[in-house]
Amino acid sequence: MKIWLISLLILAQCQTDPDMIPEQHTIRAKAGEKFEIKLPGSIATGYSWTLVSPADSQYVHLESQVYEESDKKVDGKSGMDVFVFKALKQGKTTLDFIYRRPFDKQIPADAKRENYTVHID
Amino acid sequence: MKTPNVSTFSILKTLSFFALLLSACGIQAQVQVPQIYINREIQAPQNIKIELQQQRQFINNQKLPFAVGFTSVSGKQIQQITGERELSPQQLQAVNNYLRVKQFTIDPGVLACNAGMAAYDARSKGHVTPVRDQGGCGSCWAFGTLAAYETNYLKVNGGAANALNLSEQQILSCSGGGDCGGGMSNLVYQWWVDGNNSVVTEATYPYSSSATACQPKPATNYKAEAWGLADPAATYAGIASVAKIKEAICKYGSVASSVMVDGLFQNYVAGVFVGFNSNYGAPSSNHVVQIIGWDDAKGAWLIKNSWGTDWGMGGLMWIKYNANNIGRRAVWVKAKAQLVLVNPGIVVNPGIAVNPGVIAAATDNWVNADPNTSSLTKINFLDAGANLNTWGKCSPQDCDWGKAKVDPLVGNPNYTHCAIYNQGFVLRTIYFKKVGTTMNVFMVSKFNDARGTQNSAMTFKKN
Repeated sequence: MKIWLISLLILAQCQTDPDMIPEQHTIRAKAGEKFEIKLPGSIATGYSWTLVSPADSQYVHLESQVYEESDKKVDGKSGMDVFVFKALKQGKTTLDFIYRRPFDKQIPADAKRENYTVHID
Repeated sequence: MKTPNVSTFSILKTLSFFALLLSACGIQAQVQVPQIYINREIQAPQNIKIELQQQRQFINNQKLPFAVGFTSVSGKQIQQITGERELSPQQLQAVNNYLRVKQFTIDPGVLACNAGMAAYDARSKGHVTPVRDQGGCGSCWAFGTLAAYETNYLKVNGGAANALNLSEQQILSCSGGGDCGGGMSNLVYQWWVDGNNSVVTEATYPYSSSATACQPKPATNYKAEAWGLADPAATYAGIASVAKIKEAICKYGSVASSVMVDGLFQNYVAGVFVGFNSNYGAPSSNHVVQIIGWDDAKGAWLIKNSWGTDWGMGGLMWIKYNANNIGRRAVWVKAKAQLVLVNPGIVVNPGIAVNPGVIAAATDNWVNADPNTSSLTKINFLDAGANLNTWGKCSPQDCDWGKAKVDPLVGNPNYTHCAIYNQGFVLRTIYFKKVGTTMNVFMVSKFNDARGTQNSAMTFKKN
C-alpha cells in the first residue's frame, strides 16, 4: 500500500495569549496517510508537549512521539517534540496538546496549549 | 519528513544492551514508585497510563534499578536533527589553552572528605543550597554553575545553606554565558573570575525565567577567584573520570556537570538512574546539573537538578557513574573568601597542645599576599617560632591581635601548625604551613552569633 507522508511544521506563534486560548491549526490528510506535528520545546527544562485529548482512535492513530534536538552546541538547548499520526478514515477530529512538565503536581494556569483540527478526506 | 540521524531503534538497542549488562551484574530492579506519584497517576489520561505500563514493563524486563512516574512521554527518545555539533576544534582548543595558562591552584583547605571514601553527601556538611526551579527557560547552565558556587561559598565562608540564595537571573542576563536557548559553564566562570564580577542575591535580582536585558547591580562580596576542570586530561569536551570528580568534590564541595537528558531522565522518580551507557568517545549533552556526592555501593553520583522539588527525589537523583554522559564538562569553582573582622578585642590563648614535638613553624615576619584582604594582614613569629603575633584588617590602621602560642599539627597533609585566638565573640583557629618563600594560611572563625563559622584561605609572603 502506498503511503503518503505529509510533513507539517507548525510553530506556536502566540505563546502568551492573554486569554490562554489554544493556538488553532488545521491539517488536511487523506485516509491511509501519515502526518506529523512538530512543536518547539526543550526537554532540558523538563517540559514536553503532551497529547492531552487523544483523537478518536477511529480517525487517527498516534504512530510515534520523539524529541528532536537542535544542533546547537550549548547545554540547555531547545528542540522539537514530534508526533507522527496516521489518518485512518474519512472524517474530522481534533488533537489538543499542552506544554508541561510531567512531574509537576499542578498544571500552571498559563501553560501553553495547541489545538489541531484534522480533516481526513 | 526529516530523517533523524539517530534512530529510535538504535537508541533502544543501546539501552537494551546496557540494561542487559546491568542485569548480568546482578543489579535488581523493582524500585517502588512513591505514593505521591501513584496518586497523581490515577488522574492521568488513559494514553499516559498505557505508556507508563509499557515503560515499566521494559524497566522490569531489563531489571533497571529505577522507577518512572506520571508522564506523557514514556515512549519518547532523544533524536537529533543533524547531530549535536560541539565546540569547534578551535573553540575547544581556546578553552583548554585558557585553563592551561591560568593554572589555577588547588585549594589546600581542610578537606571535608577524601576521594577514597565509599560515600559522600555534601548535604551532610551543610554545603548544599535548596533545589531551585529554572522553569521553561533553558538556563540550566546558569543554575548549575551558580549552585556549584553557592556550595563552595558555604564551604569557604560558612553560613546556613538555606539562607544563601544568589541570583541566577544575573548570570542569565549579564554573564554572556548564554540565554534561554542554552549556554556554557566556561563562559559563566570566565565572566565571574576574569571579569572580577560579583553576583547579587536572589532578592536583589529575582529570577524571571527569561533572558531580559542586564540590569546593572552594585558589586558584592560574592566573587569567584578560580575555576577549572575536574579532570583536565578529559578536556572540556570529554567526561571526567570518577576519581577526579570525587577529588574535585572533596576540594570544592561539588562540581557543575553536563548530562544528557532523555525521556526516562525526565520521568525519574526514584532509584539509581540509567538511561543509556555514556559515550566516552564522543559524548554529547543538553543539560547542566550539580554533582553533590557519591555512593560506590550504588555506583552512582548524587545530583541536584534545577526542575523544582516535584521532580525525582525532592529534586535530587542518583545516576550511575557511567550513565547519560554525566561528568561531561565537570567544572569546579572557588569562591572568594569573605571575612568581616569587627575590631577584635583582647586575645586569650587557651594554649591547647596538639601533638607537640614536631618541627618549628617559622621564624620570619610575613604579610598577606593580598594587599586588599579584609582578613589577617600580618604574622610575626616570636621566640624561635614558639609563639606568634598577628594583625587583622582595621581602619585607619591594622588591629594588633596580640600573641598566641604555636602548636604543631601531626597527620594533616595541608598544614604543619596552628594557633588559637579566643576573642570572646569569636574563636579563631589559624592553620599554616610554610612552603618555600610563601606560607599557606587557613583561618576558621567560629562566631557566637548568626554568622556561624567562616573560613578564609590565604597566602602570605615574607615581609
